[in-house]
Amino acid sequence: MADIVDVWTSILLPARSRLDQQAAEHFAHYNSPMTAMAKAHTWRSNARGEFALRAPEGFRLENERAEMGKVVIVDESDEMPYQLKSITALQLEIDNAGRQGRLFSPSESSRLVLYRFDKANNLHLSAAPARIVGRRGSRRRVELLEPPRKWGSWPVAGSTEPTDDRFEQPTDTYDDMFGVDEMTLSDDL
Amino acid sequence: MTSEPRLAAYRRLEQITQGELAARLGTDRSTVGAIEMGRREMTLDVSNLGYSAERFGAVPSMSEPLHRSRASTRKSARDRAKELLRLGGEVYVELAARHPKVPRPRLQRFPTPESFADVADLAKEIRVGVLEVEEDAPIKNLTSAVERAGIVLVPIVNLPGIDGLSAWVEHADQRVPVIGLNPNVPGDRFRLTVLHEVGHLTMHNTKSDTGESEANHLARTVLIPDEELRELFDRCSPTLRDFVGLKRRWGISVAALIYGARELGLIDDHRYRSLQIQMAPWRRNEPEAFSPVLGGLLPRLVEVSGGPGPVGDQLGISREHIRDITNWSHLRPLDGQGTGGQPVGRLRSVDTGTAT
Repeated sequence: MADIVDVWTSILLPARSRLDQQAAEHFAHYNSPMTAMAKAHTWRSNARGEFALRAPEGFRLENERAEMGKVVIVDESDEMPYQLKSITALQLEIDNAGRQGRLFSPSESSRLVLYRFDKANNLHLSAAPARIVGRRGSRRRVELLEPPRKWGSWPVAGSTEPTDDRFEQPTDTYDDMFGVDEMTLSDDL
Repeated sequence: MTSEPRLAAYRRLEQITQGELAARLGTDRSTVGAIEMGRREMTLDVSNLGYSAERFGAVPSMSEPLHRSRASTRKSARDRAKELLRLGGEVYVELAARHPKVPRPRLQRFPTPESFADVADLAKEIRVGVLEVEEDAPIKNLTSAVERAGIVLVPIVNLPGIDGLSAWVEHADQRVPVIGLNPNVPGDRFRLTVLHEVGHLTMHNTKSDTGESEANHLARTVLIPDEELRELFDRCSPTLRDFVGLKRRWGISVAALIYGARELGLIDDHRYRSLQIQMAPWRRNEPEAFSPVLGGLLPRLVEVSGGPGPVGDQLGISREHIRDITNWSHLRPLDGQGTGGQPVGRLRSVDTGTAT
């Protein structure tokens, strides 16, 4: 069975690689960059898609608030949820603690998977156990139970499989029927 | 040929009313109606429609097309599609007669199957006997294999709701299978539709409760034999990724593979639902998309015969209608005025047949 770190990297790296393509297509089409908000949501949507493609054994994806971009993977061996969160977002929450609610708070007992991309497009992951404290109405505050522990860093470039091995369909010109040339149809029709 | 004059067929191709046709012919609606009903002889001058009088006298007979279309498809769209099949078969027979190497139809009707096992046997026969491809290898260029089996492919463009339809057209003592296809779909859907229609042509005379599922089953089993799907399950408990890999090799949609796996009892209903949920984000655009290979033989026949203009003149058929059965481009000029943008016809000059 795959390790939780392998599971996360196996979906986040290709999701980011695909996002880079999507952002480039967006720019080429509109001559205007994709917004940071759109990038964040597209990447999370891609990550969910990559998980569905791979369907790693022993893990499942939570569907709660998926439409809002929440990505939570549950390790079925101990039912521990791992919620994706950017380090920037966590820092904002810590800074604003007590002043505003959060969009996605972790489950009662869970682990946050904290990510950051650097300028060289490397993915940095760390994780920390977390819990909800100070629930007041719909406002909740996240408290890290321990300092985050680094999982590692991975380059996005070259992390995905080549995509040029799509289904191939050789061309048929039908020249042989009209005495134009020798039969040009590929033998592997 | 039937004794039915081409007047109604022309109207259906043009998607116009009897009154509009009467205006083009400089007569009144009741005269057009009477000719169409057989109550009056066809004596009108049709030269400004782009047809010769001889050609306008009768149309080839054809079987009633079975549609792979949505219920919302308009009747006028279905009628036009049917006439495109008829004209495609007619033109193919006449042009193919000039070139002995152009294939004559190898497809034939088979008895209506009594079970899916019969359909699977028929799929093998079609794969090897009709399409002449290996029994257990992917069919790379399905369009070519089908056209080399003497099946005529014509484009069905800008007719919302129709992915494919097919009919047997009888002309000059020949019976040719003709399939109309919407080119504006992903390649995997195009391939399934082609074989779905081949299934109808070989198995069905009329609509039935099981006809669609039999045609789907045949399409899937021609594209990927059951043994190949079973082999995948012998190796592992496949995830969506494995199905995508199979699509990359066999050129068949993931949705069809998952459906096939359930048909064969390789996955239970729970696993089927789970895979369906995982597929939800790709309902319209599956991963590993590829483009369809559009029909090429009829356009090539027209091309080597001089192009749509000369061929139209030689055969006494509207040049524009020759283009309609050979032009697979979706970029046709549309007249959407006053119809909420719905394609209802084309902007053209009737007397010259030139698109404007």
